[in-house]
Amino acid sequence: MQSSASKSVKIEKKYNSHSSLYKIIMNYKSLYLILLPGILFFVIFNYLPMYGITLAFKQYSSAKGILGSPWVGLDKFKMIWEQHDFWKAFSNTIIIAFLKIFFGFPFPIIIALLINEVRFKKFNRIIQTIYTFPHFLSWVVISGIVASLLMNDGSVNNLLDVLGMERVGFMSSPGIFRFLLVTTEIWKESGWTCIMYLAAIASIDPALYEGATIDGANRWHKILHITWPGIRGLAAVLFILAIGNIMNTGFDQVFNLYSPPVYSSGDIVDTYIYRTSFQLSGDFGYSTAVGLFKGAINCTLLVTANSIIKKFGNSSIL
Amino acid sequence: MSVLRKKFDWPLLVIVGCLSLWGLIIFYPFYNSFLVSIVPMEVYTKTPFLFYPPKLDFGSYKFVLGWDLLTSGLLVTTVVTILGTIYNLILTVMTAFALSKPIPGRKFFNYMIIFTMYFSGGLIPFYLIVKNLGLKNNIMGMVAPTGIYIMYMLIMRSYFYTIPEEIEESAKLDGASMLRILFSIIIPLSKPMLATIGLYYAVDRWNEWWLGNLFVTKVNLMPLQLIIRNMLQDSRAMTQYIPTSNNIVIFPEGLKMASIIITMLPIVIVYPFLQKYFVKGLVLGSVKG
Repeated sequence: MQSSASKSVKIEKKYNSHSSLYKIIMNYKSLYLILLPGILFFVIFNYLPMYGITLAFKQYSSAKGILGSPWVGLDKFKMIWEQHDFWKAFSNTIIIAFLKIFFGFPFPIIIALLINEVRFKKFNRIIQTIYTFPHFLSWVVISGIVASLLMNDGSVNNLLDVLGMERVGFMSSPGIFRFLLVTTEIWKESGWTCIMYLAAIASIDPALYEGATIDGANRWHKILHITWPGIRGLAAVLFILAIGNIMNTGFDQVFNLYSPPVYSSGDIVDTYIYRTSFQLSGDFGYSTAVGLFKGAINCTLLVTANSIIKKFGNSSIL
Repeated sequence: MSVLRKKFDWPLLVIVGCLSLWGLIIFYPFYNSFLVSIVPMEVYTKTPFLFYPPKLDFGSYKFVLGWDLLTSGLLVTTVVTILGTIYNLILTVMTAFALSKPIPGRKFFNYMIIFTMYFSGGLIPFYLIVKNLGLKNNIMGMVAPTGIYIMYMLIMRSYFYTIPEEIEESAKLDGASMLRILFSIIIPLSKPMLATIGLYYAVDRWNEWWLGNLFVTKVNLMPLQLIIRNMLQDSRAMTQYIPTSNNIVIFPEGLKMASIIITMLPIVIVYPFLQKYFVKGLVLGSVKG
């Protein structure tokens, strides 16, 4: 038998086929206790609700509760198939996500590359502080600021009016709303992403740049052949994470910026679920089914994205 | 010897110009909101676009600060931020610490936690669970459901990996329990990281409105951001909440902007000084994933 002194010195895999489960747990008792609250949290708020998935197959009535509500099989999923609004929301989600990736993905990279060219430290620090600031505000606050400028009788439209031009429904016209989402997203978040790229650039060996200068490389050469390869890996990871997150594209933002006139182009799956749960019929069974459907697609996207990351050789989250 | 004369660096000028332009584009909307909050109503209705305040009037602020819903919202949000950050940090530190040790079943727990990032029961079941726990219209209803943000936990865990084993071993030789080690040794060693993650959580809690929206129906229990949101979404609702007397002219835009500025104020004040902490956490996080 090992003495208790050596038992307490090292924590290592000491169990073998002779140890009972009880002994294993008792050895690591204090660590399990430390782990317990966290696990409890996940069980209560993440795993327990998974039981509620059964709602997707039931006709929920609050009087009967989840257990008492009658089963309706795949009726709710059939409803999804027939609901025009849901497919609108679904296609909006994908279109908006792609727009955000197409315009919003290169933007922080370009900004980081530009900032890297400027050697004035003070300028860079001020610029970075300004750029990253909106990231720490809520969409509630930002939607208020945006609305003040861009709503139908907001500052920009007032200016257009004074200049004799027509007012533009930035926030109320379906045609423009998607670009509003993309632009405000870039406005809010690109500074923060940019800092990530700047950190990656900072880890590039300066000797590479010096050598390139000696060899006669100009600014453009350096960006293309030194800087870009240095951040390529980070860009790949972020790109794939963005793809994996398509279904989650910004509930907070849309919910705070949208309004009925722009549902047709701006409603996304998450806002659709919210409305059908709490604002419209309140058919919990249906909205759970929608959530499940979305979750299934989300899961597939994320797993695919993660396995692609693995192929690139970077450590995955799993 | 003649010195080579450098050509004027035109590209650099263009670059600095573009960066400054973008900086202005980010800055101006805030400036505009600030201006709207400090000018009287006549100036706002007459001038389409403000660059400077022709007349100052802090009436909007006076009104808003005397508005009981705003002050209750401030109080609620402050309480939620303090309670929530402590709650978040304790849960996250304990979980990250335990998972950084080779306890049996660690892989299982890791998968179990990461799985929740990929799949969840959905909004309705979550809502029903929290409601059935009795957390509706309850401060804890806005604190408890957001216990651990997995990304932050992963950052902490990878930080704990870097703490050398010898420190713990010598403590254990002295007979310290794991809990004691955690609190007396590991935590003091991790102060910068705790400050960073704590800041992240604090900002998240301060901006939190979603839980309040789902679970709070009593208006004086609503967090600040939720009050602001209701105010922005529905001007009519706003006039319901605010008591008006006959000789005060309601300038909705000014009140909205004043409320927004007040909501932003803590972050505006804190951010420039603590920016290095925020950035440090980001670097740690991006190295990980």
